[in-house]
Amino acid sequence: MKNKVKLKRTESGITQTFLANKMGVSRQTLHAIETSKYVPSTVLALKLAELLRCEVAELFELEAEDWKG
Amino acid sequence: MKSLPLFPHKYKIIGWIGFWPLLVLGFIQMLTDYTPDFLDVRIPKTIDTMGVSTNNLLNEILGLLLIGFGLILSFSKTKQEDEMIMSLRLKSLLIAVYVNYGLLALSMILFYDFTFLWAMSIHLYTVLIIFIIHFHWSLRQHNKAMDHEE
Repeated sequence: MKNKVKLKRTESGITQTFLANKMGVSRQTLHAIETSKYVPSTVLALKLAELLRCEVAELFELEAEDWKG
Repeated sequence: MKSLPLFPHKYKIIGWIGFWPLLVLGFIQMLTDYTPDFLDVRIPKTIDTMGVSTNNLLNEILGLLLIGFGLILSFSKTKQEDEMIMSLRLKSLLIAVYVNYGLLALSMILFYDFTFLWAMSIHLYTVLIIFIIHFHWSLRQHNKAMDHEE
């Protein structure tokens, strides 16, 4: 799954530490999300979208391999 | 979101301090079969032992403490327990169960009689040991990935 979290965050001028604190996760976890190493839960994705003031669908995009079981 | 039932983070240090020395002591006790006299207790008559027998409590004490400290070390929260840490925790638990039963199967093939019983008594703790090693290694990798980026 591709995501634009880092792009949206830098566009909004928000630091990783600030966003991680607001989401209630560690900076390491936010970094893992931004580098697509970890796919967040629905709750975390909704929090991200709200904090970055956009829709979840703008942040995350399915790839062909996500459709494979 | 519901969190997993874990011990508070402050207990983790207690787990670290207690678990590893006890593991070494337990292993030494198994190898040397050291049984101090003051821990001898009389066991009441049971079906398979006619009359009163004695038992040394040292291995029971070490075993119970090892389980206690092992559980505390394994299942105390990290400094910031979030959903990714939870996923690392569950993955480590799964790996620990797989490896443990793999080792158990190997022991069944390779060891017999008393050697098998000896191996079995080690297997009582291998799930915890493998989990602790794998989980803390995963956490280290998780934190290291961030350091490289900084």
